[in-house]
Amino acid sequence: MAAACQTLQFDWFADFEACQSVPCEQEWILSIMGRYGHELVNLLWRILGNEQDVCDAYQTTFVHLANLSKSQRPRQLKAYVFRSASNVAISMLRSRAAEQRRVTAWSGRETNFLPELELDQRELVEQLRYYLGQLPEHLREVVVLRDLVELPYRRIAKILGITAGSARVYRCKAMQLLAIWMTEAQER
Amino acid sequence: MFEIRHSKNAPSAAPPPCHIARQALWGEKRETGLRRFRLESRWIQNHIAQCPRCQRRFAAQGKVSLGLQLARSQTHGPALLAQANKQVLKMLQRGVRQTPEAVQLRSAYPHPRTWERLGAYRSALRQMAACIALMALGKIGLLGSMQQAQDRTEDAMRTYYTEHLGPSMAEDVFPG
Repeated sequence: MAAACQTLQFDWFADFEACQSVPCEQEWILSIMGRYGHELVNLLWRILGNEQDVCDAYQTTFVHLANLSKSQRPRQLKAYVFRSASNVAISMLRSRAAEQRRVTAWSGRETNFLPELELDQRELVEQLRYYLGQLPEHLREVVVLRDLVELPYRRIAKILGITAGSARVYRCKAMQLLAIWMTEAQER
Repeated sequence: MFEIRHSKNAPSAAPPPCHIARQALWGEKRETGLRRFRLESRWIQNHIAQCPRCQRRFAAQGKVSLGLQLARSQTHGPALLAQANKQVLKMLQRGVRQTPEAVQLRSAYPHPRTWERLGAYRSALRQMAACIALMALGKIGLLGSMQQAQDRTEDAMRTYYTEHLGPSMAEDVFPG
């Protein structure tokens, strides 16, 4: 028994030593986390508005990135990270909305325990988040990068591979769609 | 529901048509070079006050803008970045988890950008920059040159008046 324990300890130690000596392939992720982590958390927070969801989306984004092989690594890292993070967040928003619909259908009523003013504001933001998730991808990406990450149009154009003029037009269309949907929802 | 189309039935008495108001409404404040009309213009304001369709558009746009502003203004806890980093680090290789960089990431706190930190002192900084600019202009002699140019012009005018109207008249126009 003692011998088995010793062998196990030795194996664990050898494994540890090997990992320390061999350069780890995922180390580049740390520099990206250090460089863009703050901005990324801000973006995810603005899209999701929930700390646990932010952590989950952040984890999904970086784990996906860590699993890319050297040949698959993107050239425009920041653009890639931001786009994949916003896609993860939007898919989480959609699944959250679907879950909410299921719960509402099951219980037959919505439960809110917030003061009136806070409720109004939160409802407005939640409604906006919901409709943001419904926007077509090309419009949504521009709105996210322009209004939530607050990047200039030139930068957005570079990230998305379109012209700055197209980015402006897409944002304008997105805002019009959001305005129409939100007004319709209010009238309903 | 409102239509986002040019209203053909807009009264001809109202000079700014709906599409100009719409252009001002959906455009951005910073892009003044691309936009001829601003939402703050009095005639656009008057048009919106008269046109119910533009009013509805304005209200809907305001709602979206407010929602986006609220989403931007909500703040998260200061430990969120560290918490998110910890969650990612758990999933990475052991060797990566034990690097000094990873240790730093575990206790990372958000650092606001320089311009965000200086936001509170913006007006004071602006005034200081104006003072420095004035001092620099004085130092390079631009203000002195302007004074010199003014003095010389005045002398030339005085000479002209003396020649054409006489010295007494010139003395009245340019006393001293």
